[in-house]
Amino acid sequence: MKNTIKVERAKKNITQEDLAQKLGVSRQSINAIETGKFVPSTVLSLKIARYFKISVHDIFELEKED
Amino acid sequence: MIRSFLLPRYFKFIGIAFFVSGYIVGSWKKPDLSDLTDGLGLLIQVLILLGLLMFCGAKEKAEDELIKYYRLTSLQGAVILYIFLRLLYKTLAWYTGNLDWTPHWQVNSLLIFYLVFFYYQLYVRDFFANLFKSEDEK
Repeated sequence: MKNTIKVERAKKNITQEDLAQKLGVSRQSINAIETGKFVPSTVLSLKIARYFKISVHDIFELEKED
Repeated sequence: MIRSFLLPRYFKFIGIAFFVSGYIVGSWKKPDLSDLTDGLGLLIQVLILLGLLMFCGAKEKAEDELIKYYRLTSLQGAVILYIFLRLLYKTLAWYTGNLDWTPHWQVNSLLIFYLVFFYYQLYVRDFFANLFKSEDEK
């Protein structure tokens, strides 16, 4: 599963640490999600979408192998 | 490790204090740890085991789902490595007929393996991954 968190973060000009603090998770979590090493839960995905004020579908996208 | 069983973060420092004090007293007095009637030896074993347990079970700064996942995979890795090493040592003891190969280490090593796996995933792996990234990729 790929995602556009890094792009959305760049648009808002915030660091991984800032986003992690806003969402109440660790910086390592944001890094692992951005690099595709970790798939977040539904709750965290919804929190990320709410923070960027866009739909979950606009952030996360399934790939062929998923 | 289930989140509800986790201890407050300050137990990490209490755990370190227990472990270090047990280790220092053990190195200084050198009691026979295999003799269960020796009170000091027993006290040192309890201090070291409790210290490790507190350090392993204390919460991280931000205890989230990734850390929960790392705890689970670290525990799985530690159990597999522990069983594999014990079997290897027992096989070597049987094959060589030398009882020096019999594993004497106990649950302490399981907790140490868990800590190594956990902190490797949490800090070391990312550190090395970022080391070889350019500024643009970061």
